[in-house]
Amino acid sequence: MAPKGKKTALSKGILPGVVVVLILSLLFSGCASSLQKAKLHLAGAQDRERSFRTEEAVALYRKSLEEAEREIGKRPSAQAYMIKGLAEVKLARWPEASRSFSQAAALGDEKAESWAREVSLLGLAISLQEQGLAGPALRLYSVLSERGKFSPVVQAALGRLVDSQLELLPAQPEREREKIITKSIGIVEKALDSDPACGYYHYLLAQLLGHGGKYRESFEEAVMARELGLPKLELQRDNDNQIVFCYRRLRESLVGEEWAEFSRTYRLWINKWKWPDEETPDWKRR
Amino acid sequence: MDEKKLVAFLKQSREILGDFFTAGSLALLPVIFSSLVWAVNRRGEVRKKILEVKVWLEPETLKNKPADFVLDFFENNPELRAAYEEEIKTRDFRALRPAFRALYPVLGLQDPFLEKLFSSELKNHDYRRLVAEFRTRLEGALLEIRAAGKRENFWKAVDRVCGEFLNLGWTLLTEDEVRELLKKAIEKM
Repeated sequence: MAPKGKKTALSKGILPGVVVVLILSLLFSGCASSLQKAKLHLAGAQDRERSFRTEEAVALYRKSLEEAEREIGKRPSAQAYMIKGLAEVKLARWPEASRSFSQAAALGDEKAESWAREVSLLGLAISLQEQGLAGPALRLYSVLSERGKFSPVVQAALGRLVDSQLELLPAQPEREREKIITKSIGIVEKALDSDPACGYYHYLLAQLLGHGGKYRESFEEAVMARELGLPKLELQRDNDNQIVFCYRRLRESLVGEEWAEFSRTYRLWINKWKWPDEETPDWKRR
Repeated sequence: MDEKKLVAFLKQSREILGDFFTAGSLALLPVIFSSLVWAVNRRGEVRKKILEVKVWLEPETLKNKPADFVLDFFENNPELRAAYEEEIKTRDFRALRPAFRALYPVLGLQDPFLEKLFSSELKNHDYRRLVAEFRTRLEGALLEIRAAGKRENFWKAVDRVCGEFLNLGWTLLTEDEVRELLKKAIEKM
């Protein structure tokens, strides 16, 4: 029994509300079509992606894909193929995504045709690269990263373009190395101009600046990447290692007030992230 | 959960999942260990994380890390510094780079599957052996998992083991704490 004077959840009217929501959601989950469920999961995934809860987002993209496939099995439609394609893009299943967008285009979706083309070009570039045809693959990555309209394709192409440039570094003389790094930084900065909130671009920039020995700037970009979120756990961890690496390099090179100022800033960030000390990210064993 | 109960739980998990692997399997304990760590760390991702282990080992960015980063990795780990003293001193990147590609995912990124797969080398600080056997042992373990994954109900069994583990309240602990407790318990199995 509830204590005297205190309102129970029932008397406050909260419980009936909760029960109604529960019943409605049970009814909805029983009655909703696969298309509705696919849309709900897709929206949920995008929502979590925006809150940087990437692992949950991936799980929801997979659920969305399953429901879209179920819907296509029963009632094929442009919308169902679009949802399937979007989920496949998020799961990096490029050839399947291209086929889904083509189907959506065939069923009348106008956007789908250009998306299908971009996704299939990216798939082609990846397979060319895998077969050792680096030149044509690089050209395609470059075109897609500069002129692409579909952001997941642009990001993937840019990442691969930068990686391919970095691969050239060890065989180059110093001056050429600098040129390649500067050019790659320019490419990523251009992409950041159009999408400044993309954590992955900041991660790439941090890596490139690290290659160029610009550790303060690299640290700043890695902090941005961490704050904005990265699409994969291994990238998040690698980015944390980059932060620690920059800290160690700067500890060796900065002196006096400059070091004191950086050190203060660094401590603020690691306190925010709850790192046990300057060189140990929260996930790392001591 | 006390240690005895955890050991009993792991034994039971080994029996359930052991049916999908051949005797003396390389992959069985790494699958159990990494599934449980991934389950605590990120629910619903276990199957994907196990299957993608090979994919995420070698993103090009890791292959292309600058020489200073590679050197920093070896110099700032006392055991690696001792094991690769000569190569560090002579800046022998022909030896350090391939070693980095094997050691960084295990020690730098702390992948739980690899950690268990090379647990004896890590325990004995035998990093050169880890590097030498990295490819072949990983390929062998992944072949075993692919074969197990084709058998009916394997992933359901993995999910069930993870689900039971999470129901025991492990989400209250950090990934670190879970790793350490599991390691101790696995040794007592």
